Formats: sequence, structure tokens, C-alpha cells
Amino acid sequence: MHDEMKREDVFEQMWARQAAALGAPAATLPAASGVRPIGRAGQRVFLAVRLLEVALGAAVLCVVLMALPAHLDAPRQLLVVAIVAVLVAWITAQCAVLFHRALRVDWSAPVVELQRAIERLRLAEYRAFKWALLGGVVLWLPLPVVLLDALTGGRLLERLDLGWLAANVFLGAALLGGLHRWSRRHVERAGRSGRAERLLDALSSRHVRRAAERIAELEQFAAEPPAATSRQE
Amino acid sequence: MQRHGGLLRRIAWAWSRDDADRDDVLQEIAVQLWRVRERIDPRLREASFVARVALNVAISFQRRERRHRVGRAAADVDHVADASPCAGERDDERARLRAAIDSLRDLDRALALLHLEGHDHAAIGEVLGISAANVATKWWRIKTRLREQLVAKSMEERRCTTR
Repeated sequence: MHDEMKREDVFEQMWARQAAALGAPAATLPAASGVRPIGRAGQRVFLAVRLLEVALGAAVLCVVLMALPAHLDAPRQLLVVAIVAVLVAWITAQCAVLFHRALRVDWSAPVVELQRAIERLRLAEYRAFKWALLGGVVLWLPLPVVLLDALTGGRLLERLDLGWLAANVFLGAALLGGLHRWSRRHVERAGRSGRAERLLDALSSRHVRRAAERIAELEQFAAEPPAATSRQE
Repeated sequence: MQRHGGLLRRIAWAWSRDDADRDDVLQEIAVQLWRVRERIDPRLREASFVARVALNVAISFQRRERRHRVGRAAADVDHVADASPCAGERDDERARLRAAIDSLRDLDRALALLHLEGHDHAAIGEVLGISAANVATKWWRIKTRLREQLVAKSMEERRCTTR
């Protein structure tokens, strides 16, 4: 028992001996005045990008809704416009939720609480990105057509063969499936650029898994220990 | 910042790999402390409030920056100024301390660091957002793990010197 206590003290003594050096200004301050403010800029950029996404999504949604009355007489076209409207509304809503959550991050909250909030924010971001990718497969052709119809007052959607439209959606879906398989194979490769990494992680769902694991880890940390195993010093 | 400078630098040290990282963490901590200065909880001790913000920033910074560390040059390492005659021994000890701290997960590391800084279980609970009983249990487990690690390391070193 005495030996154990002595060993335990070793770590505390090591810390006590090193603490002064580790807390010395000379160790850290020489470059402090010239460093790049990564975090500050990062947070503002994150909020600005989310706000831009919400504004853009809302604008596109308004234009799509403008096109809706023109297709009321043709159920097939109406279906296409309605699907486009629902997907744009869904993605815009996710971006709005993300922006709202990012605004509410409180750095003075207890560590477990804030880390949980940040991981949930990350999870929401990854899911929004994933849905935007998945939605892109469905929207990549109908959306420009619907927007063009709404903005020019033309009837381009009428002239498009719905079979051809569906074939393009299937092509997009097949492409996404292929990309998913490819991303699973290459996701662990090092030395990728930031954008490639983001795309690969989103397609392979790796960062969704990571964030979910991290939230589970936080829950486990915050969970009260069973009374029988709880030990007081 | 001046009153808690030592604590802030030690937190920055524990969550960074090199001087540049440490400067960034410290700068980010200063920015966030300035932003939340109005929201200071009167029930909390000043040191606990500062530790909360600093740990939140340091943990988030490390997670955000982790991917950029892949492929970083080996020469770009942790450096602490030490001009004492026993600088070599201290460097070894610091390396062991670094290894022990790096082996802990973020929240365990935060708990251990607060304990080593002399915070009691109730104060640590306030900072982390868990109960004092939970802190006691977790500290006991962390201590056990660190102790095993240090013993294994010293046995390994002894084996090397006897060869």
C-alpha cells in the first residue's frame, strides 16, 4: 500500500517539478504576436458559410415555389416540381438548424456539455452535407430546368421526356453508389487535400461514425458510476 | 489572463504538439475568454470558469487541428525553454510526462490535469459538468492506469540499463 502511494506520488511530483517550466511565458510567447488566428477566423467563416447557404436555399425555394402554379394542370410536372421544392426546403432547413446551433455554442459551458454540443453540431453538419450530396443526385437536372422555367416563364419542363429525366436520376444514383464504394477504398489514404478529404469522409460516412462514437464516449464519461464501484479518495 | 497564466499555458501544453500549436491555443483561449467575460457564473470560482473555457477551447482545437498534423516534419516538436544544469534529466522526465498525458483520452486528461493543478473534486465536477463522486471514481481509474504505465516504463528502462 505504501509502495503504491509512493508510485502514485511520482506522477504528481513529476508534474510539480515540470509545472513551472510548462507554465513559463518564455516557452510560448515569442511568436504569439504574429500567429494566424485560425480559430477566430474559422468560427466566423463557418457561420458566414451557413448563413449564405440558408439565404441561397431560401432564394431557390422561393423561385421553385413561383414555378409551382404554372404546372398545376399537369400532374407529372407538378410531381417533379413538388419533389424539387421538398428537397430544397429540407436541405435549407438543415442549414438553418446548423446556423442556429452554431450561434448558440457557449464556450463557458461545462466541458462535457460543450463538447457534446459541438459533436452534435458536427453530426448535423455532416448529415446536411450528405443530404445535399444525395439530393444533388435527384436535383442536378430538374432543378435548373424548374429554375429556368420560373425565371423565364418558359415551359421547358413540358418539352422534357419524363423517362429521360428519370434515366438521368438513375445515372446520378449509380454514380453515387460507385463513388461511395470508391471512397470506402480510399478513405484511409493520407496526404489528401481538405476538400477531397471532406468529400471522401462524407461519401464513406466515416466522419458521421466518428462523431457518433465521440458522442457515445461523452455520454459514457458523464454517466454516473454504479454505487458499488464508486470509490472516494 | 495574468492571474491564471500558468494554468492556461499548462492546458495549452497538454493539448498541443509544438510551440506553434501552443501559441494558437493560447490565442484562441484569450479570444474566447474575452468573448464570454460577461457570462461569468457568480457561483463558479474564477479559476474554474477560466479552466472551463480553456479546456473547451483546447479540446476543440486539438480535434479540429488533428488532421493537419499528419505529415508534419519531425523536427517541429514540443519545446520548453530550460537552461538549468539538469536540463537533460528534466527533458527525459518531461518526455515521460508527455507520453503519460498523451495516453489519456481528452476528458480523462482534463480531469487529471485539473487534479494535478490542485482543484478539489467538487471544483473539477463544476468544470467538467459531472458529479464529485464521478470525478473521484474516474480519478482513481486514471491514477491506476498512469501508475501501471509508469511502472512498465521504469521496468523497461531498468532492463535496458542492465543489458
